[in-house]
Amino acid sequence: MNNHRYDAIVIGGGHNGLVNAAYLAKAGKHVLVLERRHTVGGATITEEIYPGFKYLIASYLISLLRPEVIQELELARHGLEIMPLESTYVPLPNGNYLADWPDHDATRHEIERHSKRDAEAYEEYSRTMRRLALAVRPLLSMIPPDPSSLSVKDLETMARVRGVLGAMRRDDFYLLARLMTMSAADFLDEWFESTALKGTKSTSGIIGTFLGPRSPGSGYVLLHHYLGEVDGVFRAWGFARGGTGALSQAIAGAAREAGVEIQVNAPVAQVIVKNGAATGVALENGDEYHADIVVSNADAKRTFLKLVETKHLPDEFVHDVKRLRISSPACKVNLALDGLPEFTSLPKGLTALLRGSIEIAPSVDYLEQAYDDAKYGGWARKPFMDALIPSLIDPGMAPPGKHVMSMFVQYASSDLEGGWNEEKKAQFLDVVIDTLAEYAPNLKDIILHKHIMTPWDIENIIGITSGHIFHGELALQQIFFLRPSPQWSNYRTPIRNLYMCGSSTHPGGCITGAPGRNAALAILEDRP
Amino acid sequence: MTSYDTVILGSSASALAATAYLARAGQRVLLLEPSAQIGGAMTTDEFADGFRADLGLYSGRIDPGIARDLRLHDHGLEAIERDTITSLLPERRSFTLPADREAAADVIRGFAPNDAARYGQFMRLLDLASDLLRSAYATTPPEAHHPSAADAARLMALAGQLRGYGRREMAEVTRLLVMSARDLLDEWFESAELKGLLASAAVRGLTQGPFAGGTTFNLLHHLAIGDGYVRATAKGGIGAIGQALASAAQSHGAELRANAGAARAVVSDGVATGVQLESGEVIAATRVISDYDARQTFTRLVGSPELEPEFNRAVRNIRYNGAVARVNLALRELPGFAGVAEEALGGTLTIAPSLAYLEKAFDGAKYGDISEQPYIEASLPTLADATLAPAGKHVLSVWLQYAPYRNKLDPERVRELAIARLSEYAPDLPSLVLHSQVVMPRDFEERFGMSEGHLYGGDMTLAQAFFLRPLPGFAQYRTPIEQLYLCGAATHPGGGVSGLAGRNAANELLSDRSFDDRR
Repeated sequence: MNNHRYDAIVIGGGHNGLVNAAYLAKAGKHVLVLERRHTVGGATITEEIYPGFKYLIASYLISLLRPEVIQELELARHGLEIMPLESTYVPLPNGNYLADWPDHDATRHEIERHSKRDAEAYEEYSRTMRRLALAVRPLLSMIPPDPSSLSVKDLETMARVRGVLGAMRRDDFYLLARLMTMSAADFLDEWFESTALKGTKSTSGIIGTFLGPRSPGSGYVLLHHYLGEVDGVFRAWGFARGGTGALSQAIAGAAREAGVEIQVNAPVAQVIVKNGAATGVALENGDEYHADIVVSNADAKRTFLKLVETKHLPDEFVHDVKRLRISSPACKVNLALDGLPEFTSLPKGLTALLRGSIEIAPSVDYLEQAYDDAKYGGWARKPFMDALIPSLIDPGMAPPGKHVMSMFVQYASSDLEGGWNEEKKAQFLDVVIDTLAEYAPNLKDIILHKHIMTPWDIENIIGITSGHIFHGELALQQIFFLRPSPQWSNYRTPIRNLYMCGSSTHPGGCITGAPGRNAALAILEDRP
Repeated sequence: MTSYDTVILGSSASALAATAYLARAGQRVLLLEPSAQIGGAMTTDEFADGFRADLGLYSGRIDPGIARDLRLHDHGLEAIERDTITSLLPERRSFTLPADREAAADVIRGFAPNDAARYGQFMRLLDLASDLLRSAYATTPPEAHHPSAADAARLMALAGQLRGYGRREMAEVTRLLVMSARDLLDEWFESAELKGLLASAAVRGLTQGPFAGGTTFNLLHHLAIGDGYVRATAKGGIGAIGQALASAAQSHGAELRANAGAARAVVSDGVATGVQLESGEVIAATRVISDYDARQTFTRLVGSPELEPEFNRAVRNIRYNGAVARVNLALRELPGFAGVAEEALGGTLTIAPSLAYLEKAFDGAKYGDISEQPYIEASLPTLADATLAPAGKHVLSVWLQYAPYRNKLDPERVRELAIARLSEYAPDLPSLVLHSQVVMPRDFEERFGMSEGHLYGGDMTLAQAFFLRPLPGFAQYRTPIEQLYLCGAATHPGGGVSGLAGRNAANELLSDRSFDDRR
């Protein structure tokens, strides 16, 4: 049996685990990252599943990555190159389309084609969302306070939260208060009249979330996705050259340079706990590694229901972790293509739009119907899709002349009635391809290879419970000081020296790096 | 021309409570009700010869503090408790939960032993949360952005109450306020039937399904006003609450006029100075209180040119979309509900067999359709109050969701649907019906000026509650028009017959008056 000793061990080499390790190492800690799979990145990976074609099997875009993470870890120097993905093309069933251009005036002109009134409203909407996002952004990099605590630190943080809200304009504060609990569709109804515009704008409220655009709570998710679009570093969603896996490699590079050791093919079986404190981890092969602190990048359910023996945890906490809602509606489909799909509604001169997002989200009702189909344990007969053709942005993603298409697809329930199996996967993949082929009829003729990651696959392959891309829903009862459990939202856990740094913690999912960074700050508070 | 201190437009429980409190404080008060009956939609109507039934809300109780202050018992108010709740299930099964929690747990133990063990603890958590709400309901909602000293004191009192619950309970109650009923009930219970029944009060009067975030708040709202699982009505029907309030108000000198619809509030230079009736008569008053919802008040009674565009926009953005249809059936005799004990027939009978059933009943409403499998509640008020029907005969009063306003539904279809669904449990029902009455959301709008027929003055969602109700920045019963106030269900604390909004509004108005007097 091997015996090794570190200051800190990070379980899981997802992007947050790597960020956390890098920050700890930069503060002088001797850190080991243990990754279950053959490569680091977790859900932030690029894989060549079909020879020559690079698939984004899970996450696919970067927009919310905290600018302080990029700067402090010098990710650009470590090879991160972000290419802007600024347009959105929404083909419509009636043969028309809606486009969102990088140029604000062009977009306004385009919206005018659908509604003059909306073109006017769009100006104010964009300004308002920008103000809201800027105002609440400081909360993202905050270690959440415990409102039930009277400690000086918690009271100070509460005062900072009140300060953030108090500094807002009065009308913005009211809008924020309403948006937090509204549905995305109700919110957009207040601004716009065009069916297509409301459809595409509402998708930010449902991505990764088992809610329809008409479900209260989707307004908060909408805001969550807006937080990235104002970072100054990126004006919009971005694509990493080489796919999101290249981002993980850049963070891993920064971590290694700071002295982090990274071991792949090293699945952790258990956190070793002695006298209520974590002292290390045991791998599935029996190897043990010891450290002063252990940080889990895994989701809360996996961490506390699988990696830690529940006898070490208070019943109340186990109860909280069990009840965490983590139903996922999201799938990823990748297609290797012999050429480009030809969308019937795309005017000849506008093929540049294929370099951006291609959204199948023609109306709020379409999306809501897709949710209705899935919410009782089924899947959408006409799914929502957010597709892109990475090979048009980065030719290295596919062999010359060929293309790869990445599609984020909702809704297909992680709690599918009767459970997922290979046959059902194939059936849903057909639903996805049939739906897209309605807009691009040549699609089926150019498919060389197709691949789907259902929530079941994301759980099996990447190891996230229920395959939930946010490690737990962004429902209001499980955000900020309630994420993942009341009193344990500050990255600490009931087990001494065991910390959390994944998306089950504040501020939740997406490639942000914020949980990893915030957790490092909390750890360094305890152990400077 | 006579002049009043305050003229009140509309006659809900809140309007009548405000009238009584202001008159009691020595004001010269006039209340104007457009319809023939004081009470408006809170009326018990003779819908067929000798048969009387509640038209809109068919349960609820006046706030106990108001009942005491106004001595409503002396004015004839007599509460009737409707304290069992029965779930009607497929294959003529059913279960009945009594108000006594241990007895209810015993019932649950028969089909879900694990749930029975948790029932008491669950109800205690709901108690803590609804107690907090009740405290918040008893006062004007504090402004949250930059609270005044008085607002800060109210906020501190609420925070203090929450903190007093203890650390764990504090977090649990906080979570409850924002959760969906589905998420909440899934955390606590296993039985689909129990979850369905308990979720019914979370979607009652709301145009949302139990999967929607914030539906637990709607449940807590009903619990806080004493209209949750244990319900009440008054002897003589829900309209008797209005009659007792009216009598109390009159005893303090208030004047009440029926058949007197206000056409508009008279506003000059941004100050309300009285009202003009539909007859053309103008009544001068120092202050005007509108019991109508915000849309009715600010588009019909006050013209939008009197108001800022931003304010008008906020008014347009209020969510109504009423989806409650009411069906009253006059019955030749008492119907038999298969498998339901006779003593349970006096309680609430509910068709809400599961969370998914309720959500599916709502699904169609999103697209403007009515479900063939609606959420239904029914009561037989004549069992506890024989005055409501001729001897030996009965009334079955049905609450049906979701019948969305935006669809011009045929009332006949709703009548047939209600009878068809209920006759699955009471097979002899169709043969017993002598007369019937259907009231659709459009009827509530046309007859009582309730926007989109919403019985609660606007959906009871978190985005339209507390300091956001009825409009952000105007939650303290005042409006952009000086001397014009609001007091109806559209204001905090929202729908129901508690009368609290009226008392809170009267308090605000009186504090403004004493300020004016000092000036």
